[in-house]
Amino acid sequence: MSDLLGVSGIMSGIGGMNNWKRDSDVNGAAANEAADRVAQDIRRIARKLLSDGEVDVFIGYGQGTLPSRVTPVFITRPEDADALIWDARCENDLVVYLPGIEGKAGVVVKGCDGRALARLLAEKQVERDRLKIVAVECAGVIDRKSVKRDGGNRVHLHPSCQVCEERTAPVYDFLAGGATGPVVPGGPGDKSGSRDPFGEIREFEARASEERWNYFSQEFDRCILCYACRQACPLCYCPECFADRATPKWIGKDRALSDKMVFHLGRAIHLAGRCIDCGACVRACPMGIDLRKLTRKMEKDARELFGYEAGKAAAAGALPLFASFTREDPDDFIL
Amino acid sequence: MHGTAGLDRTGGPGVAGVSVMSKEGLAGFLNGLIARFRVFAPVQEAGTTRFAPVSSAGEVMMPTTVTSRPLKELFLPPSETLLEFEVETSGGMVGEVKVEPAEPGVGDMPRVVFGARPCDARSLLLLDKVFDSTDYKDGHYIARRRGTAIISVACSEPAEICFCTSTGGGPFDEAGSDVILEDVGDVYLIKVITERGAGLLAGLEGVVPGFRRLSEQAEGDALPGQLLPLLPEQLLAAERNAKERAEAVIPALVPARGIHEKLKGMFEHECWGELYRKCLGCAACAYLCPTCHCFDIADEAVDNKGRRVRCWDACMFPMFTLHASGHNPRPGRKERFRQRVMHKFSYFMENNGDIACVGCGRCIENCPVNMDIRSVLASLDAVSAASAGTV
Repeated sequence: MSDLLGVSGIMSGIGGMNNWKRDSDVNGAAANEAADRVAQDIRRIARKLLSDGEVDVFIGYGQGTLPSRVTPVFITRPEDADALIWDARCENDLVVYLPGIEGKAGVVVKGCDGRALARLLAEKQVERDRLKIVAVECAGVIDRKSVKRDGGNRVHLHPSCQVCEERTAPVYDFLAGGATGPVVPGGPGDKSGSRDPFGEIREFEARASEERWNYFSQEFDRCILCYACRQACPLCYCPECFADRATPKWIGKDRALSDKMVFHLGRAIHLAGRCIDCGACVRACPMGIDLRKLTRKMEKDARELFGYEAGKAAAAGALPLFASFTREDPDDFIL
Repeated sequence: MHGTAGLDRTGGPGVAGVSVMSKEGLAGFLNGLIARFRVFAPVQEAGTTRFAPVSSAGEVMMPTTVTSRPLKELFLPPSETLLEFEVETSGGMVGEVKVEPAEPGVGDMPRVVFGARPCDARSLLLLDKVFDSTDYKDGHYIARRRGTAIISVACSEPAEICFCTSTGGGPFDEAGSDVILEDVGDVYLIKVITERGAGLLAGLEGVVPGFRRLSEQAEGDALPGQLLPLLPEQLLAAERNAKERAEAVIPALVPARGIHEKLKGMFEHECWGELYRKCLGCAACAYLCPTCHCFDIADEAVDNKGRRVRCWDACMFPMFTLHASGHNPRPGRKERFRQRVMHKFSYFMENNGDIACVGCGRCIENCPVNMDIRSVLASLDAVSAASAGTV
């Protein structure tokens, strides 16, 4: 405990913490070795980029203050690069920090984070020549909340990782640790067709409208409007969110269910064709609200109606879905 | 604190002594309370927990840690109507404005909270300093405080996020509670802290099986579910052990209470520029904090009728303290993050003689980026005193 309170303790990690639910629990012992190799390479790359003056700051993961947690770290001196870690707890989408960064930055990205970064580049929110992108071939991150719910007895991949189709960023400068191993069936990057990535959404769509309404009412009623979902989202970068506007006021001060619904529906539609399902919103939500039900539906519609896959390698530099038009776009929903 | 007859919470420890209850007696104890009072207790809600009205013991989730949502929302709800108004119009002319003050939650009172943790109970004493002070008396808050009795459950097994011992509390702290229930191993000890607490239990002793005054716990008389009789002195020794064990898990190592003097000179310190960096600017910390109490007031009106509403606000938001001119004295995340730390550990101490933190750890548990207030305070404490005095 006393270690935990020291500043150096936070950076260097606490004894035993590194053994908390590592990749081996999810993907076998070989994954631990792969993660160590990736971590060493991240440290090497960061040290070099900082020494050579290629970046002013390197954003990666460091040991957190709880066994289950890592924390974003901003490294500015080569000698501090040793604090960088990589394992299956590295859940944060660090791309969220990039639009606010001045100068040149290096950043560690998983596949999903890389898709978010591709969107930010296409939407001209960050400049490519100010970035050094360090990709990792991700094997999925642990869903710590479900681990806690199960009393620590079972380890689950985060729901987003269970349907992830591209485990490596579409654009990068370095692939830390190189290729880490074959795709695990049912894990990130599995494109075998053995699973339906939108199966859960299809099942939900098939329910009666009243049932769906009740589900969303129950979910959003728990919302405390802390906006952690919005703040953790790498694609929620509006200088002024509609939810914060006073004239006109979109969200009432009553905090009624309707106010919460307006926020979440407005946010979801604003992410249509842009959300890359990193799951940051769900992980940030302190009330455990099923936000992905909305965003995955948007993703599914973008794909099935417009053939658009946000941030994927094939569409990395494409205009946003709502900023593009073709004669082939379906219009049968227009009255 | 509130001097209304029969609701006095000034009675000290030992007023009505200590009772003992077998573990099996808990359901009967809760149902006995529910039969006589409107009881709020921790309930589960899709993987989260909060204080809500309960109608039977089966609905109560005996807490293993603090509830997801803080106790403060029973006293300072996320949103409440302060008054209603209507503007009379006739012939296109604006006439008189009729104003009707709202009566806050009168229908809910009186009520009993069961299952508060000592940190949450203590948080109410800090909120009292804001809403029930010599400077300002908030009718809505005070009505809820006066109408609510608190039965706490001591923390036998503090969690990894807990640091109440560093903030002036403790896992068996009695401050703010009317009654405290302690798990001392095989049985519960139930201690009356205030006169009001004595009133809560008066109708239950002898009615609830396995629940009796410690003074009536005679040798050779085992509680239901107990093979061996437990003597009062054995039980009190067990209580001491449980308390010491719990306190040993969370030694008071966080520099929370003593840092205010140093913070006074650190407003412009460069360390804030490093400390805030990973903060995302959400209000998970502030909204789930049992002592954060900043609010916004707005009119919600349609046509000529409306309500004046008070709702939670948080210093982490760009709208917080935004002036009508467009100027904001806290323009960025660094200034907002500093405001939260300074308010809790410096300004609140200056204004109210205590820190605005009870060490419940909800901010640690819920921060999306693991901003740990314990580490922030340790970092601030570690900054050399020589470089601190830049203001």
